[in-house]
Amino acid sequence: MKQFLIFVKKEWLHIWRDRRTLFILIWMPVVQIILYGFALTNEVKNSNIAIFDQSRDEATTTISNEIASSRYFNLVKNIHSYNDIGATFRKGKIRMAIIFPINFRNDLLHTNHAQIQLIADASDPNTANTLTNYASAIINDYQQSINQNEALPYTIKTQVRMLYNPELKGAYNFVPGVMALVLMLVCTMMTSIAIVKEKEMGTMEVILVSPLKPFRIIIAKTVPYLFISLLNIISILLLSVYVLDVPIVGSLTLLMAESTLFTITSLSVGILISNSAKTQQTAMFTSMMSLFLPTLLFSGFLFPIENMPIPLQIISNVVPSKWYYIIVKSVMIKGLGFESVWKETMILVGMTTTLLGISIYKFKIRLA
Amino acid sequence: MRSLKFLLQKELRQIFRDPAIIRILFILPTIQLLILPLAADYEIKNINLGVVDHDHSAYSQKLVDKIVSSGYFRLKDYSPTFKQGLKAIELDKTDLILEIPAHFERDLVKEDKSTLLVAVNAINGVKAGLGGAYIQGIIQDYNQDVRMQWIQPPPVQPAANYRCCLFRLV
Repeated sequence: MKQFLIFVKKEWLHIWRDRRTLFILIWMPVVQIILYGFALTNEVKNSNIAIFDQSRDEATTTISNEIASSRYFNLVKNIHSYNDIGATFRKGKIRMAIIFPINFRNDLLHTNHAQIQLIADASDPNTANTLTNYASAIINDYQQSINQNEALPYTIKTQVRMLYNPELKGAYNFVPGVMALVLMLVCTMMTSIAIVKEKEMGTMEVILVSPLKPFRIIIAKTVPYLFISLLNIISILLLSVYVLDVPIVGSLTLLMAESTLFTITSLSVGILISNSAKTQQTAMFTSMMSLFLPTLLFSGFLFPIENMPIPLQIISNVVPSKWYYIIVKSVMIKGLGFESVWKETMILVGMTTTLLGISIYKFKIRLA
Repeated sequence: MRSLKFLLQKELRQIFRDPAIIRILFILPTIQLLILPLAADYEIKNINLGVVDHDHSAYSQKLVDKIVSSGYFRLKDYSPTFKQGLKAIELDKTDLILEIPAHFERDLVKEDKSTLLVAVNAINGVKAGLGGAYIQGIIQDYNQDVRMQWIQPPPVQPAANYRCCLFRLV
């Protein structure tokens, strides 16, 4: 045990003396969570729209005003001819155009039937759909306000309740995902150079002749990084609560424990990479390239996993961040207890032991 | 200029000698290129639907059938109580619950109105917004069907033949 502690201290001194790296390790997650937290959003708000109003009467002005004053839309242009619509779309200035025909109010009052055309830029289908839905809702509201006292027979009313995130904020979805992404990247990168560095510096031989067993060497290499990662988890959680406004509904202790577990998983991924790589450069490349994309793709916070082809869905199960993402969503946002995430927790524990096992098995006690 | 050439030669050799770097630089992007278009599909479809039907009537059956056959929803859970339906949302088995109240059919036909409850897991705001809008659209469509079934459309009025009348006046 004493040997082990001395080795941990040695590793800690390595990190502590390299102040610049330590600084980066502590601040990188902070910067990343702020950057991703604000930049990675698919919320629809303040979308630029244009209105082509051919009748300019009371009804069209009211509808236009209501649409322009909603927080989803931002009226940038009044169009005056049909050809202009296409031209404005092609310039990429607007995402939706609203077109009122001639004699809109007259038609509405006298023939009981008037039309509004919504044209949306569907190169981004979800945004286009959301925008047309919002606009239709506003137009429907107007229609309701006209015939308030006329109730239609056989009406089915639908009450829609948005659970967990009634304001439909994007941050609720992204913060757990970004947490998984940042922890995975930072922790893996930290340890991925740990062993390979010794190989490159030529100090590996000294470690190998020491009486420590491979198992202890590997554990001792991860322990100091685990403390730094704990610091990272705390800073990430503080940022998400106070800067990104995502509350922690469930138990904080459980969330911390699960995050620590995930950190250990990521650290062991890094150790495995470090063990197999020959140079620090390769280790860095491997951890960046082979982890960033799978984490982004397969954790399920950007692209729904159920839309992917079956083989990819199976691959996604191997990515640890997928399980961590599910855990964070359940604990942090839904406020569930351990009984709903024990399965995911067990998977992470299993992954960690497997990864560490492979690392220890592959650890060569002889140079070259 | 000559020295630059030699430097370049040296750097290139250094890169190409390390097979690991070659693998990362060339094979990995190819794999990414192949996987990315398949995986990066954020269309909102395959919304998992949970139904809590307290009515068990022909109308509620028809409504559920209509929603499922739209292609956007997959019926994943059929719970007897709302609480159990909510459990399915908590476990991520479903994304959306449709609760049909008791006497849905009777209220609709006799009292002219009936209320449905839709609860959506809104952690992913976009998915929730669109899923809610899709299901509301389908319910409205269904409502229209019901109305058409019960309300006789007004008989078609034969249009007066003005040309004939004008002719007579002249």
